[in-house]
Amino acid sequence: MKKNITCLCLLVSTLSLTGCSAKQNVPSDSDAYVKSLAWKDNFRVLQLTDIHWNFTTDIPLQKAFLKATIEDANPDLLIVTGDSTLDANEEIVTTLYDFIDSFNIPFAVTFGNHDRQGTFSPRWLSNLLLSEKNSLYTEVEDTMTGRSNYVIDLLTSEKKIAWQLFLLDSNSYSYTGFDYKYSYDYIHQDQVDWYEAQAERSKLVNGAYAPSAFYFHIPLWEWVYAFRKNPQGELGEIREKSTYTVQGLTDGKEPIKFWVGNSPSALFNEAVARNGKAFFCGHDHSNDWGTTYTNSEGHQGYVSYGVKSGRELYYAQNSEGRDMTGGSLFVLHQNQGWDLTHLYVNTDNLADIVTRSISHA
Amino acid sequence: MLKIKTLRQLLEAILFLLSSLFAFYGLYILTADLQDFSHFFKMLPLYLAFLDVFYVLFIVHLVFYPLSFQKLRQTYLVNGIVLSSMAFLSILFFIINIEAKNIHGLVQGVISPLYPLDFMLLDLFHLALGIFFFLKGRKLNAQSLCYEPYSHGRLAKVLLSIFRPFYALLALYLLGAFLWGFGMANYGSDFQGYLLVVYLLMLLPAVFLGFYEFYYRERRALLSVKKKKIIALTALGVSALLTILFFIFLQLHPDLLIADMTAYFPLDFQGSVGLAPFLLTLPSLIVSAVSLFNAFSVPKAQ
Repeated sequence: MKKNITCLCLLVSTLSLTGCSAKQNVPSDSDAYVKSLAWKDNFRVLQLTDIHWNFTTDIPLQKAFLKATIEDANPDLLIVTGDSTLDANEEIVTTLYDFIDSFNIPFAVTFGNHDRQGTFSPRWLSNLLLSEKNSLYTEVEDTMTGRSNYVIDLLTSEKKIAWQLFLLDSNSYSYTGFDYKYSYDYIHQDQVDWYEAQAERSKLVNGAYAPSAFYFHIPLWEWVYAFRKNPQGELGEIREKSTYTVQGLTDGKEPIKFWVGNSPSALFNEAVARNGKAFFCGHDHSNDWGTTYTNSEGHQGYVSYGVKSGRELYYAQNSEGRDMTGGSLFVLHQNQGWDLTHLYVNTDNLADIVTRSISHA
Repeated sequence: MLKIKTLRQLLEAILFLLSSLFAFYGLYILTADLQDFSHFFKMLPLYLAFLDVFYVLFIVHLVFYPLSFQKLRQTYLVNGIVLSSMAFLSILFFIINIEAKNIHGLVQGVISPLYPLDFMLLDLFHLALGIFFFLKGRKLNAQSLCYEPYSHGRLAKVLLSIFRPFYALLALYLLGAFLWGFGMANYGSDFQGYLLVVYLLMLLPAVFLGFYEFYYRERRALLSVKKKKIIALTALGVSALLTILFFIFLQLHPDLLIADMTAYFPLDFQGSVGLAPFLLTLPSLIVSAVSLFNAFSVPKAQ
């Protein structure tokens, strides 16, 4: 009996010890999270999202689609906001990122909820992104929630920060006990704390907070608040057909067409109080809607979906009958203003590209 | 005689291992198509090729454990025709899709380095194997083989014919996930120790199946009632212990599956539906509970 209890204790201790991690507490304002690019006025950032290459993808066709989108946008930086692949193997993932790399444009990636669904390890995926020549992807062995949390400083010739572009991991799913459904995760407080530290760093460098934009996959609750105030929006449409409910957000109200995280995040409020200008996400393929939202403290920021980059998995058509597939081009100005253009690329005729734009001073 | 028996068991084990790798990878490919099956025609020859792999395992199993001479002959004839027909159709659909440029050439890659050529060669093998089975069935003479007629009632026969294939498929899938996992695992994860229980649960259905096929099946008539009860109790005990530990760990760390197992359960995370905890635990619990019920149901005089 004594021997059995001893064995059981040893087993339990072994199990608990093997859960120990090699991650470290890295200071939130550390340069380890920072990549830099040279600033120029009218800096062009193309957001690609929900590319969703998988085992059934016609890769030559989708390559041609991405090529048409990227060449029409002529960006200075590509940002991929997650769900780049789904049900894929190493060859599919490598083909995609090698192709993006072949444009010789700096590119940055943040993960969505489906990026890990493939016959490869998360470590392999990280190493691939770290090894691509033009990749700005950064992963720090820290204790912060998520993996793809980093910032791109756009530096003037005087080494001032003209703009900061934050990439945040909105994580994937949340398991809330014995419920048979997974809900979506959100941007956690430690990630928001990290953002604040990096924003403070920009204040130290510039004497004031640098204007900033945020890229992640799963939309924040602010998308819903913004929609309730201004359903028409400023650019894009909501074309999702099914609806979603979230405890604490839709209680006693209409179900929503936004597949947000299961908890509110402090990111928007903290960011707009520190010169945060715009927030971009992916995740909901049939939405490319966006509008300005003013919070209860009177600070405002633009919240927007990107345009789904390709027909894979599912996509929608807008009220003009055009595929809502292409990219979202964010042009940054010296005066902290910006323009946003949605590019709609017709997969069946790649020369057929239509754009819709708005400007914010 | 013993040597042939060992060779047969080895062949079945190898086929089972191969099938498990195909089962896991095949489900991944099917999951990618599940949204609206808009790529179904392009993927159909591949699905047929995958099905043929499991079908061969199924046929071999029926051949090794025939119910009667007539059933054995039927197994060879009918399944030989079906196997070769499926293989032929798979090759045909591959050719049609290549001609229609849905598949970009004989060696497009993506699914596998030599896809579709490698699967077409596999189809040719299955076509030849199907023809072999058919010819074998035609030439089969009544032999003094060891036949295993059903000893169950009609209801049990029907239930077994539904649940046994389901359990076998699940065992194939989970074993395949375990084997593929060596390349997919999140090494260095915070939850490594806890995942040990998950890996054991993944292996359990295949272990139970292997134990039944390679040990219990031929000895059950000779085993005492007491020994049968001990075996059943052990199986149930192991299943229950792993299940309890798993749900304790899941309560302690709700992110356990999400952090490290999304690659193992593509269907779950495609549809945001948490089936994995039940797939991992319920089948083994049910099977061991049923075996315990059977062990206690045996008349004492036996």
